[in-house]
Amino acid sequence: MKAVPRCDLLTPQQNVIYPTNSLNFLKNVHNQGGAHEASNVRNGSEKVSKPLRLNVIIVGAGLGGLASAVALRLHGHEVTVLEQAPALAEVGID
Amino acid sequence: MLTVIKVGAGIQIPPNSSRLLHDWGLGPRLDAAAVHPGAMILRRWEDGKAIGLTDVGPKFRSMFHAPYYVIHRANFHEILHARARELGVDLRLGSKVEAYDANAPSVTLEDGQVLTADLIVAADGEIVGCPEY
Repeated sequence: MKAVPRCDLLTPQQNVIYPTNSLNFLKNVHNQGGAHEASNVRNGSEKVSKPLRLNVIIVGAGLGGLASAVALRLHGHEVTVLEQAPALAEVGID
Repeated sequence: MLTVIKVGAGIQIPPNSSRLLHDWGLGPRLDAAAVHPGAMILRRWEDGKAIGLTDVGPKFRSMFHAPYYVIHRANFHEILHARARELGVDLRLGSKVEAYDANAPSVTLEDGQVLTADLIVAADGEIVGCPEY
């Protein structure tokens, strides 16, 4: 059986610092959301937390990438999809 | 002579998934492009006798408030593509990602362009693509 061609992107990834900035970012978003709710309850204020608007890059315009793009757009985020193919055609796992 | 050729994969979309897709505004397109199976029949290997049946017809649809679809992969892809375009997704073809930087976070394209974002979703498949973080 032919070996699965693990991508060469795997090897040059040196020194990833954990948690990564992506993970920290998500954690902060989560914590801020929680804090907003807590202060609203405490003060009884009318303050409405601003809807979060993220810039998101999606790599791959397959079913998963496009579905993610649609869902994220409908939640108001800015979405860029990067696809290596020069045109969209049927691809897939057989 | 009858020739059987492969035309690609079919994808099953049960109601828990189709309900989401309907929420995304894909209902009319899916209704038009998908197959609406009436039932799934289990048969004995020896003689083809039906030994089990799951009705996935209209009753099933009303019970789960969403249909059971079977759709060709290419049709499903085109439907998602059309909806993404409609919603103003910035789709860039011919843009091959050469490297990920999880700490930035950023991606580097083949032509050397570096793109950063708040969040990067690696939807580039399970064989080639982004390492796990």
